[in-house]
Amino acid sequence: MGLITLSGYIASNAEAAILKAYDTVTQQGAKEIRFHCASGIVLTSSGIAVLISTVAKARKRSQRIVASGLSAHYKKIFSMIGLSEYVVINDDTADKH
Amino acid sequence: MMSLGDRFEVRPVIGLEQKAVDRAADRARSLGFTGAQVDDICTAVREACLNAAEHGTTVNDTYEVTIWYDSTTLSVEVWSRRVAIHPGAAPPHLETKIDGNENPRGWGIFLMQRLADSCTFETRNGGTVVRLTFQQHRSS
Repeated sequence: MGLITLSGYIASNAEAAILKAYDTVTQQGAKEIRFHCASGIVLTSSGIAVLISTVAKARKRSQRIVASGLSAHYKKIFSMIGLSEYVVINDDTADKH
Repeated sequence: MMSLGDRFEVRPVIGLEQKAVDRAADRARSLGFTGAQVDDICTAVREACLNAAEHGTTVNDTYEVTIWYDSTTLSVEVWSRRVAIHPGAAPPHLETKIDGNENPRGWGIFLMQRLADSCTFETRNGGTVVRLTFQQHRSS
């Protein structure tokens, strides 16, 4: 399993770092890529596009993609855009609303 | 009749939209919007601002954010001096993007339209106004 932790403000300028991390864990033989979203993360639409690019790459390699640490808000957004059909969402976050 | 809550200009730099996000969220909380609604407001306002910064301004420009409210409604207008929105564009399709047949970007308008109770676009002085309106939903 390859772990990629996302934190802070994720926009298009995170693309190079995320794809590099993805390539690294893939070269290490990861069959599952886990994106862990740290508390307080801000995912912009261009950041979501970076995740979509990564999901596309992973699907070509038959890798499983898992997202953990997502708040209820981002779980809703993943569902809204359809990403939850391609990404396994770990229900591991206690939201504080 | 809505009251003017705030009006300010923002330079088109990624991250500086946080001022608009924070001001809208503060106003929403003071009106009694739920935490989940405030999250929706934050994301929609951020996307409107990022769209203005990326498509509606030049480097030396600013875009203008205006916040209106009444007892149950919050409205946020983002005005950029250039045309920033093409609302007639086809909605994004995830499967096509994942298959590599469409640019993976293009979710900003989609998110604004889904997260706000109303999302309108109009032309003003040669630029674009995006108006996001949120109605307070009482928590159950």
